[in-house]
Amino acid sequence: MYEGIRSPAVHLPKTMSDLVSVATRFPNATFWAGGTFLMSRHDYYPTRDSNDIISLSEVPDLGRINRTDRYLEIGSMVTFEDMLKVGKQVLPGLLQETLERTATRIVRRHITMGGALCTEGIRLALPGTLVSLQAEVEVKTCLGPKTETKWLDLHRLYDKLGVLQLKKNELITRIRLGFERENFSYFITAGNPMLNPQETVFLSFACSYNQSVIQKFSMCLTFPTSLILVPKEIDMMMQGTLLPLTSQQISRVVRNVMEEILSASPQEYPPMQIERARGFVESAMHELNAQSLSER
Amino acid sequence: MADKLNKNLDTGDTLYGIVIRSTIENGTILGITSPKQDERFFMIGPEDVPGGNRVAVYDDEFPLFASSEISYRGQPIVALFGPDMETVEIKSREIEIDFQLATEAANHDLKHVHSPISYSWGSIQEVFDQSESSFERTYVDRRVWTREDTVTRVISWLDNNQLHIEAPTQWPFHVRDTVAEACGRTKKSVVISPSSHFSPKDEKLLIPSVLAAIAGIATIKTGQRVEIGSRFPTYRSPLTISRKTALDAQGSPIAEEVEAVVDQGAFPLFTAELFKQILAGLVPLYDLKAFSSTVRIVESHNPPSHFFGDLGYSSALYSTEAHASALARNKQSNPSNWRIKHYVDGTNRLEVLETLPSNKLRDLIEETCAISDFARHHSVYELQRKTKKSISTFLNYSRGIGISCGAGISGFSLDSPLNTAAKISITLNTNNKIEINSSFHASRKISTLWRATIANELSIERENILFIEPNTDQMVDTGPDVLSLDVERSVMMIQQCCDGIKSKRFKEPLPITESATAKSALSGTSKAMFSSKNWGCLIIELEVNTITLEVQVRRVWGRFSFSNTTEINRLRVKFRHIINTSLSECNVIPIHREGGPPLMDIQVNTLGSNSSPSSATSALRAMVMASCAAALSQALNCDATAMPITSEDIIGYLRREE
Amino acid sequence: MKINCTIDNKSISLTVNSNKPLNLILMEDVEAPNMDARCRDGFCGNCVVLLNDEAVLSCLIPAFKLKGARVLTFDGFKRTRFWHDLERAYEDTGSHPCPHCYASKTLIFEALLQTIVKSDEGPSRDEEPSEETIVEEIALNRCPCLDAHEMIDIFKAAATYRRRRRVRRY
Repeated sequence: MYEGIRSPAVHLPKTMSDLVSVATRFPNATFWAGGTFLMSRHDYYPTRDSNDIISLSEVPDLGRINRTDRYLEIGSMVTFEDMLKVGKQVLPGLLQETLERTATRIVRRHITMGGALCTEGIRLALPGTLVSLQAEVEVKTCLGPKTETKWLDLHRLYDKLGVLQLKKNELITRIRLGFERENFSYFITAGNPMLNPQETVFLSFACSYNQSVIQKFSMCLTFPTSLILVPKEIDMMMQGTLLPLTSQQISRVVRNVMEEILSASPQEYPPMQIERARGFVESAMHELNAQSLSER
Repeated sequence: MADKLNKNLDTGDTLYGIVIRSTIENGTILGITSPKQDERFFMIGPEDVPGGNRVAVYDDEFPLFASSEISYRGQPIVALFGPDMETVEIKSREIEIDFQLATEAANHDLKHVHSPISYSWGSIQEVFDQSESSFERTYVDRRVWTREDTVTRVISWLDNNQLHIEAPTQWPFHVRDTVAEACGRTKKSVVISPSSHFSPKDEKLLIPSVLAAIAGIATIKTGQRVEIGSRFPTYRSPLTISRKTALDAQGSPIAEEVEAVVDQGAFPLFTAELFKQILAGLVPLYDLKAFSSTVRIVESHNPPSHFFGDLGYSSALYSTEAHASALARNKQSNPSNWRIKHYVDGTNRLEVLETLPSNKLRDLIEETCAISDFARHHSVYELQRKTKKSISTFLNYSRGIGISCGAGISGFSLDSPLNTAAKISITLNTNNKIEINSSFHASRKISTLWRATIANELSIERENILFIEPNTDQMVDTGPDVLSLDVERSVMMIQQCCDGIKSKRFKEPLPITESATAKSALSGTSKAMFSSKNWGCLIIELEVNTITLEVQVRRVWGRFSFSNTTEINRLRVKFRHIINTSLSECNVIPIHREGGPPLMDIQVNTLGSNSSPSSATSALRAMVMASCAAALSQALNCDATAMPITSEDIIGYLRREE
Repeated sequence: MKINCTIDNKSISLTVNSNKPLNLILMEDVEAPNMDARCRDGFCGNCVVLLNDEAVLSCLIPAFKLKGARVLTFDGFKRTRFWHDLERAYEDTGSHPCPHCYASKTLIFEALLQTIVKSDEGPSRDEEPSEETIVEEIALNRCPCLDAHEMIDIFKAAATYRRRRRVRRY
């Protein structure tokens, strides 16, 4: 311990009510999930006045994976590695691939689902994938006796620029995924979001079609520090479209996405991100065509 | 504090230090606001240096601390010391430095230009006048720097009025001299104990001297043990090389004019040797009636840069080989056949670079092309390049293949004053034990190589060959451990020592001590500035993924011939490391395809002569860059002349094509 | 915060800030040799240690998670018999990591070797990681000195020695 540097107190609540109580008593404390993002910040340690820590690791409710009739409910403290052990029969392929591509096993053992959704100032691949899968999150507001719990569509957790909309005393406790499965999914990434966020792009795409007619078309494009784009208009435009897509249809999808990107923010996006986004969307459409043709 | 696992010294009263550096490139320090009064901390600045506030490097020097003028971003201004690393780091954030940015906007990038040096043969203007056409390109080896993931730590303490320094360093005697000068002490009263390090980019050449001097000043001031750490990177000098080639009616080169401009940052060092190393790389292997090359050093407000694994040879050779490929492409000729046709033994370049016979190189080129099926790959990718209208995501790749070759050099130029002082001595003691005395750190590589040489020469068991206690009290000065000197020149020096011992053994009483300098070891060898005893040929196949816009390596083939080497396996492993690292520096990523062939096919062979070896590491870096540039030019249908490749380049090439 | 843990098989009592990263604890408080990685959001992957027999990036582990933990650095690992499997694999293949990342990559290889046989279930269950997994895991350490095939060859050679060791054990 060093004079002049405060050693943060570490609180280890054992139940949800303990957690709410501690969070209410120490409103400035930092919720500590896996800690991988917090510890990886270059200015995290040493600092003169570190906030107290509320470690979530010992609250059993947050570490459970529950399967109900309609949903798969995942506690926010479930690690990426635990999620992958759930199995391919239960886990959507898109989510599986996203989790595997985010980090190696050594790091996945420590990254939590909730933590990966709440990283300050940067969006990793997980939010985009869960948005494409139309996931919901349970948000608990820790305000002493007036604790509120609500379910939200995940895309409402962020604004268009990817900024997290959670308040300081709000905590993600569960994530919910429906069992309806898409029959085409596509995840592609390029760049390293931690080292080079200005050139990194994630695309998550889930599509359901029946007898070559698109029924659900859900895409999410992420630029780690500046964009989470869910092109709803394109989603609606593509419903009912016959596969395979023509080159004009592909061009129209790409054009619409690019227009939405360029109008999302007054700032100019780096050319590499723009080109990658264009390439990713086009490639996703080609892959969708390829799959639909191969099934004939 | 915690129990310590292992420690040799009582570290109870250790002070920890941090260097505060400039955050601007060029300007003046108006004032420094010290942290809040706290007797546990103290600052050291230029006014606290008892001796000279400078670090001398042969005839050049740079300030230890910036006095009032800032010359580059990252220049040390002051150092703060305190009871532990954490509180020192936090306290250092309270230090405020007021800067005034320089008003000389016009000369922001170029401070000063040194007199250029030139080398030429033939009548350049005459040949250019007679030529049919000319071909011009400018090659850029852009600035890179090391990722400082590890902390360079230096420890100093006083013991019986001797100032002791423990530091990872490639040049222990430079640390000693710098500390002695800065602390106002005699050299004998400063003892350096070098610790182990791994410095492929010469990260520990001068930075430890700076840190040691600062730590030494703090130790003298307080009488306490001091530990100081730094993560300041090492920089490579960016080079811009313009080459203009006169061509005859058949498109073959007949004359060439080359200008190289090197930005050495705020304080140029080792300039005389840098000129020669670059010249050696600029001289092409194809025959020319006339050749003219000029090397210009410029200063700027970038951090000082000099050694970075080599002293400019790899950058110069990269431009030479990339230009050869470009000349072949201009003539629509296969670059391997072009090289086989045009690369000859040249008497004109002998003053600068003596190589093995060029027929050995032609054999290597043919062998490498055969195993890589270069001709077929090249033809296919040329066809793709010519017929493709645009890079589409439907056909989601674009491929190219590039070839380069070169001669490896190591050590300083023949008549460099840097050879004069470098010394090694060997003592044959009683009981048939050998003691090696050198300031080069006894790493595993050196231990193995030097022991093998001595064991072979003197028929002594390797276990009986020991290194002297590593501190400057005992060691002789072998100079800076750079440019693979620990491999080539040192082996020659050891062989000379062994020859001396052999002549006296069984005739004179023991112990027998023999010394050799680099100069004496080199005398009677070649007259050229540099002598190369190896050839290398490298082929790289690249793919640009047109969706992710990443440049990926598909395969690498390399064949290397050494006149004499006993360490073929070690060289193969080392070359793989260098190729992997160089590819990463070029911003290209190796692809792994499950079940596919190995990424690299590297072979090293020896020609079995008795001559001493020379290193191929700097040539290999050049070959990687040149092959990548050639392959990228084919894949992207452009002239890729700047390395490393950046995302802006790729976007630029793609948009130009569209 | 006072923390009792075991580092390289020695019981240690530490008094450090609760959020101090393990790599700094090893570097400054314990002065473990060969521990000097501090890239600060550079994601170098050079600070790998074994925490309760699992490989972790020590810069991501805060002190408060070390209560009762067993930490093994590369120097501690070299004193175990498992190190010889990798040492021989490096010799057999003729490939090895460079000195800069030797310690870290070796511990990542060890972490991969541990997945081969689940110790509780005897030698019958064999979960050898795929080539892609091997390459991805080793790439956690960003030093580019080894290429994919070298990594796979080293792993396979070490795995052979490790299986023999497991069979002898049972």
